[in-house]
Amino acid sequence: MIDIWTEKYRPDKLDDVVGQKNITDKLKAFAKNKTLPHCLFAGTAGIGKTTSAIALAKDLYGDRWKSNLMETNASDERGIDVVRNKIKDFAKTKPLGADFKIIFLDESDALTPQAQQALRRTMEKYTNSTRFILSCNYSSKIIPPIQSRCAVFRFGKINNKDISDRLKYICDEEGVKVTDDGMDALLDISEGDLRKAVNILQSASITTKIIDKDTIYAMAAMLKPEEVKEIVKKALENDFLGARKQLMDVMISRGLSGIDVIKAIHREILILDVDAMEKARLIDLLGEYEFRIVEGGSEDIQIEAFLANLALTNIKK
Amino acid sequence: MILMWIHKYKLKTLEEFIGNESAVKSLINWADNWKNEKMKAVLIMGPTGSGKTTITKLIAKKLNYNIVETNASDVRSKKALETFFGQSLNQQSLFYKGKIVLFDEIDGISGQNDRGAPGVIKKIIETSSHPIILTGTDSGSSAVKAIKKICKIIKFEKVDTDIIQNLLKNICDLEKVYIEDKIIRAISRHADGDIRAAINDLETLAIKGTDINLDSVKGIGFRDSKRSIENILKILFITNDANIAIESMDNLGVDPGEMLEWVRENMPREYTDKKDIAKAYEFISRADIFKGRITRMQYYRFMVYEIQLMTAGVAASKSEKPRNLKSYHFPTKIAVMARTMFERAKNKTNAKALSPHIHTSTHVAREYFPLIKLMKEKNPEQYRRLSEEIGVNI
Repeated sequence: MIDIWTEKYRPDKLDDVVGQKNITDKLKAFAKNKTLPHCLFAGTAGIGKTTSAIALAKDLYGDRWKSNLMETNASDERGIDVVRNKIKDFAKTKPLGADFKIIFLDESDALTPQAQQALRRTMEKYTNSTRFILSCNYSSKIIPPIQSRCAVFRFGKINNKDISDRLKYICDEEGVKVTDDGMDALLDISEGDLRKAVNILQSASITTKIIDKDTIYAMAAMLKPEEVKEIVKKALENDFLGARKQLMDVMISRGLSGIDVIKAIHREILILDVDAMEKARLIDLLGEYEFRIVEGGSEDIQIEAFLANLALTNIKK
Repeated sequence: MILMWIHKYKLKTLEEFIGNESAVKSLINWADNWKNEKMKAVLIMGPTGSGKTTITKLIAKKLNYNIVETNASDVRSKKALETFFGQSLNQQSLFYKGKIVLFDEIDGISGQNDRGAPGVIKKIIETSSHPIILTGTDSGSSAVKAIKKICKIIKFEKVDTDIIQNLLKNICDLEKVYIEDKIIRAISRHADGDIRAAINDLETLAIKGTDINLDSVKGIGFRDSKRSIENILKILFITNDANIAIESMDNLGVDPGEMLEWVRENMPREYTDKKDIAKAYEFISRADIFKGRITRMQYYRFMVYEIQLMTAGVAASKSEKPRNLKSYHFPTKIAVMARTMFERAKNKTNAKALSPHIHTSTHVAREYFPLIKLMKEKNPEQYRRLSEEIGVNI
């Protein structure tokens, strides 16, 4: 077992999966009856999609789970052909001590609609020996014909109580302590993403055994409110080059994702002293640039374009 | 309207064309007498800026032909060529004008995207009912090799320095700029037989105004990619004409992705008004989106929009005079990418090693790097075990 807590504490049993009881109960029923439809697991990062799939496989196959489950990832495979060949090779061999095998295709919303059409045919072809579990962040990106062939499970955000219970359990096992404000900070930063929370917790535990709020914020590669304030201020004061330089510095040196930066800017805009119409304009604009990033635009260019636009804001004097 | 000199002084008739007399003569003979010629296609080989494309267009005009043209900036995949020529050659042209097919810069055909293209061109030559002119600079390129046996070859030489010098003098007279003879001579020599380069250099020096001396000629540097990029930037920051901005990138072989970085880096340094900067950034943002779409959908025609938005869009966004900078900043993004090349390669290997052990994509695996780095720093023994187990080397 590798010394990474998200692995060390990944639940083996469906019963132990955190915060998705409705879903894991159904999956347990499938496992008990040794039957399974194709499934679509939809939901944001770090809320138990992969964990549920692995736990289900362990439940179904016992010790032989590894030979009957293939994990593959749509965002890392260069095209549908790779996915198809890999799937074909796997599907051709007989299931070990079971009626079917499981192919878990992670991040399947990374496939283009054309690739999904091809996937759909593959799903049909091997349906005798193989079940697919597709996971995705947004089920709307999965074409309807695939959705209609799957039982759709929507994984919700894990609530704070469930997350903090799990984190406390891990702390006890590892002999570290998180203060109350430290726990609040962890919940605040991880926003229902248990993987993120556990990762930050392990990082913090490496530096200290008593973990408080400051340690947590230091561990999270987050844009500090003062830094965003500074960037926004420069843009508003018509120092575009200054704002751009500072933005690049934080994004490059800290490896912040564009979405994290946008979230931080969003918080800042909401407390900006401008009239209501102007505020609404800025919110709309920010949303537009986030959309463009999701559409495939570069994070840095799109955020810079927003900053250039922010400079046109009328500030209350 | 500001028109680049290279466009303003474009030749209008065949009679104005100078240089490469005997080559030009045999080309005219061939075109005039095409129906009876053994070779149905001509391949004009010669250095950049010697007038290969210009002469083709002038001959077509003289003989009253329409030109059906494709050049290196178009996508020339096998399929694209077949559709393009299938359509345009079978259409009767208005007033029943004849057609000349021009394959410009065939050395530009190469690699992945154009695979199969030489074969298609060969087929078009063999079956064409229209005269075909191809141009190229490199006799060793795969496209040239593929077709030279079935073409009449006409060689163009570098244009003589004296001819260039006279041309530049004429332009100076027409533009009413005074530049010493020895400087014009230096520009002409510097251009090394490339008329286009000579006119562009002359214009650049004249724009800078004030002190034109021999040192400033040296300052224009050798014609390399950076030089072309700076030319393009200069043009699109100054011009208000959409087509001039768009054409600034034609035929210079500059990678659009690289160009976008230069435009993005320097636009806010050139433009002074915040409204202009915001407007121009909007176009940069749109160009960037089309760039993303090319990769995502593998649809290369989007490159046209990427290029035109970053040139025409940015050019059109200014209401105030630009600063007219003397030199441009090297793009920060490209510098950072170069500096971190090794690290990025390492990160990729590490993400690949790590991802199967933690059941995630390589993308998510990167989220674990800070943790592992910290482990290495504070708890080397623990890190050593992990590193041995899964082969990461952070």
